[in-house]
Formats: sequence, C-alpha cells, structure tokens
Amino acid sequence: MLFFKRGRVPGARSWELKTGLGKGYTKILERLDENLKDLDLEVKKVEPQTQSDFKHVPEAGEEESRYFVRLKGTLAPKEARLCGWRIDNLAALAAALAIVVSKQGKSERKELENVIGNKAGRWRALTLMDTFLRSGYLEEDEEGLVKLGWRTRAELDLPSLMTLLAESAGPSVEDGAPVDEDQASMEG
Amino acid sequence: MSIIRRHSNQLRTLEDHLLDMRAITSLARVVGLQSAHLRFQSSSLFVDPSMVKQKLDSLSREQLAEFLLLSWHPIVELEQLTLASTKEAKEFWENMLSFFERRKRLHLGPFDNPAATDIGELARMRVVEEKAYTRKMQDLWNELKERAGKDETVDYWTFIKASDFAHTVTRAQLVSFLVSYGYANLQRKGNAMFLVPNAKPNPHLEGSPLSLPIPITKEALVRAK
Repeated sequence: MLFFKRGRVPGARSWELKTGLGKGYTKILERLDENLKDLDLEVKKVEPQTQSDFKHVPEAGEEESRYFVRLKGTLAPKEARLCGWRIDNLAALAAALAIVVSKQGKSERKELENVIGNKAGRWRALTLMDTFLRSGYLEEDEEGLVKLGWRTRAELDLPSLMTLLAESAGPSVEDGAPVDEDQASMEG
Repeated sequence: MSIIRRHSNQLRTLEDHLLDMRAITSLARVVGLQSAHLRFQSSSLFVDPSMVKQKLDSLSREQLAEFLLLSWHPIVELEQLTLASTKEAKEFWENMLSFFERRKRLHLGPFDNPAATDIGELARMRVVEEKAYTRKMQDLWNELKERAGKDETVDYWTFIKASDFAHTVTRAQLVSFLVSYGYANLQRKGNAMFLVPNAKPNPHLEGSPLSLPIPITKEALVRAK
C-alpha cells in the first residue's frame, strides 16, 4: 500500500491503512519503519496542511493523514542527476521553497518566477513553475497564491533548508549576475 | 476587550447582543492570526524575506542545489500493473467506440485519407526550403561572377532587384552573406554601390571590419536598371 502508486498521489491514507491492517496499524508501521532502516528508507507521516500555513486545522483528523515511504538519508548530486534532476531544477526548487517559506507559506507566482528566472532564465522559470505545481511541490490556491504542496511536506526538511540558507556564506563570484534570458532554456 | 466589557451591561436588544458577539468573534480571529504569526516566528523557518532574496541572489546554482539535496528525502514510488487496473483498462478499451464512431460525433465531415507529399509541395507550402541556404549562396555567387564579366563589378541595386519585393529582400540578404563570408566585396563610389566578386572566397578571419546597413527603399529600386 505504501510503495505502490495507486492514484495521483503516492502513499496511503490513515483510514486506508486502518481498513487494510486493522486498528493496530500504527504499530505495524513502526515495525516497518525499523525494518526499512537497513535500506536507508523510513515511513513518513504527513498531516494535512500543517506546515504550509502554520494554522491549526480543527480536527482535520488522523484519518486524513497520509503515510509515505521515503529516503532516510539524502542524495548526492550525481545520484540526483541519475534520477533525472538537473542542477538548475534543484536550485530553482530550493529558491522557490525558500521564498514561499519566508513569506509564511504563501507567495505570488510572479515573484517566484522572477526569482527562479534570475537563476535559470525567464522561459525556463515558467516551465519549472508548472513542473513544480504539477508534481506537488507547490500548490496554487483559488486566489492565485502559491503555497507549499503535499510533496514538499512529505519530502523536504524545511527547517534544515532554511538553516542552511541562513548560515550560507556571502556572495559567490560564479552566479552573481542573472542568467542571460534564454541561456538555460536552450539546454532543454 | 475592556471596551466591550464596559458596555456589556448596556446591551438591551437582540441586535445589541449580536453586535457584541460579532466584535468578540473578530477579536478572537485577530488573536488567532497573531498566534499563528508568533508560532511561525518562533519556528526555525522564520527568516526575513528580504534576507532570503539577498541570499538567493548571491548563491550559485550549485550551492542552492546542494542545500536542497541536504534537506531532501524523496518518496519511494513504484508503478506497476495490478489486476484491478488491468481489468479497468480492459473494460475501458472494450467500451470505447471506434475512431470513426467518435469522429462522427464531432461532425467533421468526410474523412480524407492520408496521402503522400513531396519536397516540391512542401516547399510551396513553405514547410521546407527547396534548396539549402549554402547552395543558394553558391548559385548567387556564380550569377554575380557571370554578370560582373570583364568589368568585374555589378551595380548593387541592379543585382539584387528581382521580380517582386520579397525576392529582392531575399537576394539582398544572400548578398550580405556573400560579402560577410568573403565571396564578394562591396565598394562605394559616391552614392553608388558596386559588388565585386572574388574568384575565391576570402573570409575575414577576425570578423568583418565594417558593418553597412542598407535600407531597401522603393526609390533605390526604381533607380536600379
């Protein structure tokens, strides 16, 4: 149930696990988590909408929590590339998430596109934003504001990301200037 | 709250009480929002937005990607066919109307069978060029050499002038490449311009020493023989 993707979103909801495994499903998940450690994997529970807006959701309920199996450790750049991620895309995602988090969980799409555009080029910024929204790293609400998506809540350690960013050293020479208009998008 | 409390004993009608309740609810909302804001500020996620922007501008793509990788634990997702999904797909396929049935519903009229096309037709449709650009340049260079003859020069406007304006512009563009790549030289004598073909291409290895914009005007074309 946790490994195989059955719908648009992977993982399984609490009530699904309860139905499949019985009331003691949390104990089983703890046991699974122990066993997965050897494979550098872990079971991650994501509560609905807790990290994106910092407001208590009144009794959204344990039932709606979702469980995922995710990598316990982290990936090296080479491994990320093997998974199909380009350095540009990773940097753009980091920038977008940092902006949304710093704005208390919501930001204007245009602002994110500008920030990503400085790193990856304007046209690439547009396609990357669509990709992040489609894959669930970001979500767009009815007011057109962008917030953190379910995948970010499942995969990202945001306090770690923000700490790394805050503690990062000063300006680097390599990327000081914005990228030329379409430089990055030429790479495909 | 003290103002609401002060006026509480003066509430008489239902409207007064409703107004009082609305004021208390609004206050509770403000407190709730303040609480959320404080909770955010006290978390490790609180960073000043302008500082974040500054950091993002100053960091390289590699650094940013590294930060993300250090905080990223991708989900394990496996996709495979299951008995249930296979059954669902089979049912969908069996219930699906044929292509022609579905097309009928769209009222698209009679169906044209696909037919083969050739380069000539594609060129007429301007999908492909009939001749490669290099080949066109070569032909124009030969034409220039022929028309220059013994004089070794041809008037620029006479040479580029064609049956219509579009062709004239195309010839002017090709001539500009001939000059840039050293197949010909452009000489100015007063108001007149002459093309001098080179027997062998003589490219300027360090780039063209001169850039000469030539507006293609109606007057210039009328003057050309």
